[in-house]
Amino acid sequence: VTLPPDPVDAPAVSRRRLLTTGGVALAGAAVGAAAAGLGVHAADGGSGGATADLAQVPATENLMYEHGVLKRVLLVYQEAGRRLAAGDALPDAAVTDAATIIHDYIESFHEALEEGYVFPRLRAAGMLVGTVDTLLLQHARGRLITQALLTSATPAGLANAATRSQVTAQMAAFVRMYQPHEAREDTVIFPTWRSLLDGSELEEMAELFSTDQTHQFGPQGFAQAVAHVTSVEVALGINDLAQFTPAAVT
Amino acid sequence: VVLAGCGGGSSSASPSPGGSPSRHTVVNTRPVGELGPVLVTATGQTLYMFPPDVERHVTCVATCAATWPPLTVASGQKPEAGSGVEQSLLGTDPDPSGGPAVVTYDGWPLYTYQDDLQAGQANGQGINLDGGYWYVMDPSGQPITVAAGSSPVTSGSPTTATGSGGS
Repeated sequence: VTLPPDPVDAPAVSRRRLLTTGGVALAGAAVGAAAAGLGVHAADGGSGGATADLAQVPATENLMYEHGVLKRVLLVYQEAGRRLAAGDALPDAAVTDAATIIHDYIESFHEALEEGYVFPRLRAAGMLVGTVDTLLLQHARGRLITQALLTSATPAGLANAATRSQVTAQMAAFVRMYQPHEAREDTVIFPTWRSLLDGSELEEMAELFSTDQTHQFGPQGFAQAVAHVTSVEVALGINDLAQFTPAAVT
Repeated sequence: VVLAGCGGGSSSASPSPGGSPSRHTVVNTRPVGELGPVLVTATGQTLYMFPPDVERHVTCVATCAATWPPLTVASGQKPEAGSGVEQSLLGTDPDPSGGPAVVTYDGWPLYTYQDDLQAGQANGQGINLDGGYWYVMDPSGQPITVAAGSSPVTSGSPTTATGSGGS
């Protein structure tokens, strides 16, 4: 047996990076508290409370929790894209850290749950098959974008104008694709899937999703993912939820 | 913290997205884009090898196997070589999660990719997911490590959304 050579044009990416945050430092005590399972609920910068016992959470709700992580990365991509387009400063590892969350938590875990448990059940029932095909293709395209971002969005890469433009376009394409993608899943795919399962099957799925997450990331996998995305938001200065409140309408 | 990932162990609740193995599992070849002839299933689904599976050991289990369903063979059966495939290179490897035996070629366990929606696609070629890179194999048993001729990812060329949903 001969091992193929490792590609030289892409970084070795390991899901372990999810738990060993890279260039963007964890953002203070609130993040650490959430990661440690302490459940901070006030002035938490967006990381507190992510400590539910996932085995007790309905499977569909669990999937939507994970979509929440995805949504927050999309916000990071939007802000990073805005900065790159405007020529504003961007923390060195902001984009690659965000892409790592997508790679490790969304693509290697959340999407696997959909591909292994949700979509096959819909196919077997002959329901939403065209939508499932589109969602699968979008998973494939998203993974290519993530791989490209992990390769290109490094400090050295972003020093090049053409690469900055390419990275900006890739993040924009990712956001444009995943906003309707996850909205369709939340409003159509997951409710339909749930309607196909009886009570015991739903409980089994909840237990299985929790077990798989623990198996892959440890007992605090979700909290770690939330802490990680919070740290990127802090680095970008977009972690304060209040900053998104519009001025009062007069 | 225990980190197992794709290569770190098994789950008693592994998905079986590939369904029950058929009585006869056949491995064929077919040309796939610029990759040339590669190993495929009897229905033309592209097959992949996973470098962490070195030394005939299936490491893609649990959520990894949800995305990369292994090609399996029914108990007591052997995989069969189709056109262009060398029977002597075919074998099997136990599934550490307790499922049916996984078909191997030149020692490498073989997997399909959920995001290959039809025969002739190789959307998983060269991607880094679930703990390593994934490659198609040529009929001699060599991994092909060049990138597939995928459409470039650019802004303004989003996927064509054909799903209807809403039912």
